[in-house]
Amino acid sequence: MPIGSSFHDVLAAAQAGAAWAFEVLYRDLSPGVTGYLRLHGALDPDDLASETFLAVFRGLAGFTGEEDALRSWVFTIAHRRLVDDWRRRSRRPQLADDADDLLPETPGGNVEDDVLTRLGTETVHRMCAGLPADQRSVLLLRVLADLTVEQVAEVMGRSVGSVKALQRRGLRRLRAELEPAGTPRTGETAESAGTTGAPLSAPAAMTGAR
Amino acid sequence: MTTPADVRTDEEAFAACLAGRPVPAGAQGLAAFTDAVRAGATEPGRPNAALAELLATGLLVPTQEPSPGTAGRPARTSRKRPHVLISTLVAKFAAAGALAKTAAAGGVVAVALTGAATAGTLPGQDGTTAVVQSGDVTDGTEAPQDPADLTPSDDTDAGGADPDGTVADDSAGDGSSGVVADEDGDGAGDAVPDQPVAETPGAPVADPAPESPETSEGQRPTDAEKAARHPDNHGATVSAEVHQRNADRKAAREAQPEPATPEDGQAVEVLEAEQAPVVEQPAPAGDGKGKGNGKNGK
Repeated sequence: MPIGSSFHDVLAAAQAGAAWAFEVLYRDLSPGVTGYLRLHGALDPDDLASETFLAVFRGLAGFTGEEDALRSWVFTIAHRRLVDDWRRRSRRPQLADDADDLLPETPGGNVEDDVLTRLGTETVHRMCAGLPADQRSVLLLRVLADLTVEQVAEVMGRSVGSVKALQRRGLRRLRAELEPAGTPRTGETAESAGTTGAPLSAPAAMTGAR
Repeated sequence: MTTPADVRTDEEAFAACLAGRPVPAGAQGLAAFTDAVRAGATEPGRPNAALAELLATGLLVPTQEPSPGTAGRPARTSRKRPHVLISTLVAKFAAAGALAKTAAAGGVVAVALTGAATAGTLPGQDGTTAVVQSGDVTDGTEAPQDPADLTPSDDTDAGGADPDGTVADDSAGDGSSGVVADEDGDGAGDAVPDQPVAETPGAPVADPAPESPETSEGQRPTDAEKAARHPDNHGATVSAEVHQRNADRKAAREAQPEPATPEDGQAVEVLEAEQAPVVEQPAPAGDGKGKGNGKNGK
């Protein structure tokens, strides 16, 4: 949830070193950063996100801009930390094996819904792991960080056209995995698709449909 | 096969998903994917120890401007203030043992006495006398230095008066003029009475002081005369006695017959004085076990 109109006050307090302002920024930006790192297959996304925010808070005194610029800057640092982590490990992104990190616990929830949600989350992880890293970065930055194509290009250090191409190829790849082969798309409406009883075109485990 | 229409539909559907608008037909899967991705990123991660501390305590940002009290002042070498240093020393002294206190007090007294002796403020201290007395014994047989070396080439100071007036300063008792008086070789510089020094340049100052190389008769005063003039000058007395003793020895040596070479007479005297006459002494009798010196004929 964006901070909104109080962003400048929070930013000024954070630049002065106020703990409460740090917490506000952390609660606003940490879920997206942690999810971005987790869906990229970081082994310890929480620690990587912590290192990201430590760097953000220590360098916040020199930041000037609006909230979206701060979000873009934070994800820039997170992306570079992720690339550094990849280079350190020198291995392909893989699914985190800690199930507790994959899904936040929902105390008092429905067990069946939790299982379906977990299955959906695992499906999302698997689909993201099937994407190339650049395409995955573009899609996740656009979904989780709400960044524009231009901002994603700045974060990744690429041109806008390159980011658009990566996004196009990523969406095509996702569609190929989401839809079974031979499913007609052009001219098809949601109502007509709904008449077939199929849970849209997404796997049931991801959407939670039974 | 993917057509350009499919690509355009995907992009429009993706933009609708990001903006929260209803997705077009055939893009429900993409909408479900974005929702699932967002659902997995709703909770903040667990901060590590460093970040948790930072979130709890904040960050201490250094102030950019110096405080008004220290602005424009040079940095102190020591961060401690003087009263802090003194209080620290007092506290350490109070906490020390009796032996340490005694040692510290002794050290303080020794330092104080050394400083006072160096400054010449101790009662009864007369450094000039000590210097002159030590100089009398050695300077008695030496030729006096040329007064021209000790006095500037100012003709107005002729007549043996101390040119720079240090003799007059001796009345202050600081001993600074003792060295100057000693340099004239007679060792009586400290006994100079206070004499008015003529302030007018060019007027020669009559100096009756015995440290003058020459008296009014043109001869150096003897030590006996110096001692008679200054009875409390023990150094001069001792010097006179030494001179008298040396004169007696010289007279006794002259009474003896001269050696063969008159050129080397003094050297021979020194040689004779140093070499004692060798007397043949009988070797101690041995006991026949090899402890003798071998001169008993065995």
